[in-house]
Amino acid sequence: MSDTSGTRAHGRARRALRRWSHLVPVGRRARWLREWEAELDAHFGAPAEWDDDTVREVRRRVRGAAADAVRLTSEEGWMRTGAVLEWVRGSWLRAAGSWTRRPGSFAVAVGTLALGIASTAVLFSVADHVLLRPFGFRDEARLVALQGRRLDTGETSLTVSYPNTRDLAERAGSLAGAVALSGWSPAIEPPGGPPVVVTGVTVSWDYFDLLGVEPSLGRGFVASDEGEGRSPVAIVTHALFERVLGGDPGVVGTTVPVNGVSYQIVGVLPASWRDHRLYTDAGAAPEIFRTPWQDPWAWPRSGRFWRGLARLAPGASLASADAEVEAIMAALADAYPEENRGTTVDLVELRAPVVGPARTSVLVLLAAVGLVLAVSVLNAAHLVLQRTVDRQADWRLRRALGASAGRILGDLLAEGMVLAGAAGVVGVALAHAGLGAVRALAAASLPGAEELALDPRVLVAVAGVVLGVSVVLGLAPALRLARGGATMGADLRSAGAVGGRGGVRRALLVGQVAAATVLLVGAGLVVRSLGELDTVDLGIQTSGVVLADLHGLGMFDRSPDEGVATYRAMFDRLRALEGVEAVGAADIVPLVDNFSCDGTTPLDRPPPPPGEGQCAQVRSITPGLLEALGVPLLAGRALEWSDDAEAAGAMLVSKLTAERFWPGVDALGKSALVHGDTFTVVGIVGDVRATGPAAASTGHLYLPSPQEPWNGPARGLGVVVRARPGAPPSAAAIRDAIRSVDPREPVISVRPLESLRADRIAAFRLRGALMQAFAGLALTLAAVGLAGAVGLSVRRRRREFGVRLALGARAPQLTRQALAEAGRWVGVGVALGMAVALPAMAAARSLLFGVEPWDPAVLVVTPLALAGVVLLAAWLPARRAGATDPMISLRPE
Amino acid sequence: VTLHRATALILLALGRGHVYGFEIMDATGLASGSVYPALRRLERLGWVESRWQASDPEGRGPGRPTRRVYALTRAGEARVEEARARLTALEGAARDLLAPERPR
Repeated sequence: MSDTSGTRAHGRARRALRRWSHLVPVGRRARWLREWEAELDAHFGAPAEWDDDTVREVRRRVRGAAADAVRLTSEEGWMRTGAVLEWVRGSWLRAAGSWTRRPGSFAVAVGTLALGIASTAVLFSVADHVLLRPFGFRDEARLVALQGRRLDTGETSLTVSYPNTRDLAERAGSLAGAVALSGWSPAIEPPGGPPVVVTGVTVSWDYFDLLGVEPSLGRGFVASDEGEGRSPVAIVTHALFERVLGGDPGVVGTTVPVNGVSYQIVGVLPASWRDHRLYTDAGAAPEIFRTPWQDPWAWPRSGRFWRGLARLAPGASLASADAEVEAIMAALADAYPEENRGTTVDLVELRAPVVGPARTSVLVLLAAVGLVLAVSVLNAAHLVLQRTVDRQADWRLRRALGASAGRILGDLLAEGMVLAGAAGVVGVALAHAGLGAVRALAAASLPGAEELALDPRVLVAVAGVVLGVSVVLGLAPALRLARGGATMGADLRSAGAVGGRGGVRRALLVGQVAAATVLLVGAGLVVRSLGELDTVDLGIQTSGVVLADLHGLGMFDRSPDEGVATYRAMFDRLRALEGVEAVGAADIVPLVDNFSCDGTTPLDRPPPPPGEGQCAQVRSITPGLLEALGVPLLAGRALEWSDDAEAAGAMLVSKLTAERFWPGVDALGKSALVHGDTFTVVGIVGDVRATGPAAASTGHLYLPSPQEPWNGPARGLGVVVRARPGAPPSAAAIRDAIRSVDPREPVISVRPLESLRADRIAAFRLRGALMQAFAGLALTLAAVGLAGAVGLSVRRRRREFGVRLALGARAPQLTRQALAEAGRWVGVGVALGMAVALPAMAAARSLLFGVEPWDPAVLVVTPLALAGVVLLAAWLPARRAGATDPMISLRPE
Repeated sequence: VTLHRATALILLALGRGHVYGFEIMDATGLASGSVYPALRRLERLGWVESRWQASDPEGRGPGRPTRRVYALTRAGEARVEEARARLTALEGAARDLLAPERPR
């Protein structure tokens, strides 16, 4: 019995040892097992003679073997870390050394990658800034914006009416609060200083409470600060407090004249407050906030010129709150059919007003920059692969000398990391410079562009890209190498040949060309859009026309009659300037701003059902304005100074308004109720694209400023001066002329209308500039990549070319052949690119203007231009095919 | 270097001419899980060296695995006295600690 139990115990022990041996690090496993097995066999004598005690002892010792194996793992682990460090250091030194021996290809690869990384970092920063950066409000995921919507057309606007907003705040259980805000243009007159014009906002008293922001000095607004009979109070930003109010905390509680009214400064916002452009389209960040001077319900319910914000109540979802708001709006439409019928309010993401227009273009640009990065990585990988071919002998030698595959792989990875690391450093520097350019370009089209900066998260993202790229760069040749195996050399040689087995490299080239094609098509369409935008007739003349933007402060303490007299006197002075042909003014000049249309009802025909009233942009203008802007008078007469407060209400309508209000009949002599007063059409004028070339005209209705004092000077005045071509008066002369009539009146700016037109399409131009830059980059990279590939292919095949030349082939023939092969790759790449570009452009259609995604000019010119440039780049090395020395075929390799 | 009890025991066992791992276990009463790590430590210190047995001294036939033989180096031999002193001290301490138990 002991006989069998001993042998069985022996077998079990050996199996256990084998099992435990797997814990031992590979390098020592065999020796470890050998020693244990030898001891087991030798020490206890023949297993057949083992007694029970021996079997127990064997079992005990084998259990110890497990402990020993585990110990060995950790001992080895320690040693292994040291060895890895040594090895890594060696690899890095070798990698750096190997690159310094090839400064040219190192520079090209680093440059290529750095461009890709820089454009990615820039775009990441922009995208992060626009789409992701938190506003910094308390629990801001619960904040939403209100968006108005017309039920019939589905047209949306980010403006709502104040009474409706307050009703929503009171009735909607799913809202913890709702506030309204609207633009304000204050001129502050600090003691002893000239008036300072800043951007301001009128906000519901609980605005800052809703956002969760508390002033760092003084107090926030309280309920009694708003409404009939409130005493004017204001909260200022820390920047304004420092710049205009002297930074003295004692200023809190004192009063300052703003627009001729004494405002008590009750609070100063913390320095960390940032402008979020939640409230206004104004170019500058608002710096002063006041409360409305009448009760929420005293504002016209049809006056949809407020931005609305709300906070979701705990437990409410956006969808449930939106449904409740919709129901309440339906009830409000029944209660106030005149003002509310046909409209509703949606709850949208807080960011929507800010990023809505920018989102698509940022996403498209992200896709574009992704392509650029892909091209640059492909290109760098390609360069590294070429080196692989060049260095096959080197590796064969090292393999033969006993270097393990792992070590060579480590070296390749290290080379990739050195390359990608250098590219990362250069790329971040380039990105820094590039962001400066974007800041300048984007100032007019991107809210908060001045705050654009490379932030740490972008750098982390760059590090991620660098890491990924270095692995790709290291693994690409390693894969080649691994696939090569014993015949590595032969395999690599054939990989170098055009049309050989270089499938990976050919795919890289085709991919590059395809990506460049997509970008070029995109850039081509955007550039065509810009061209179209430039040819759009705005309905006004912009060249030689200058806009002087007056604040209106000087008019506040004048009666309407005195106001009219003052600006007539200004116009006289301006007209007296050399070269000036026409002068006029409006409350809102085309290209400057746009307001939602409201409160206009045509008379003389059956009134439309409530909520389906016609819509026109109402402007308050002086005689001479339309002449100065070059808007043609199509019928009737222009406005005269005699259309004053005593005369009957007169107005001009644009062609579109006339057709909409009085379809099929002559509008001349017809009347309409505007802002509660009756005006009669005395003339019909041309339509104007008031928001710039990208949007169609919405139709205008012009009232004479002297008959509309509320909308006139009290909210500022845009004075338009048209000069003879070539002789525009200087901005200083215009300022002087205005100041000579009213020294207190602040002139906010004097700008040519051309620059306003340009600002209106700034987003298009920014997009165009970026797309062109990216497309140019991708094209350059693809050209460099193809030239390199052809060069390598020619070098690899010089023996063959030599033989053929010796056998009588002509040089141009060989050059053509080398080029034709490159041409095939380019053809495939272009075809692939076009196949991707067409659906992509169709999806991004909203970014185009006046151009179809399948614009024939772009579709024909782009591939031809691309193929031309890339093949030209390939031609230079291809020429070397013909220039091969036939003697080379005789020399040993 | 501090001589732990196990290390001291192994040094003495090697000094007595026990050359195989399992023999050392028998001689010292230490478990296999502590003998081998200690031997490796002593090798790293340079007090012990090991080699694979050149031939089978017991005349066993071919196919038998060769055993690993451990031996003191000169540096190791120099430590044997120290190990003896260390173990004596440990033994004295153990006796003292065990003393109250004895009357039972």
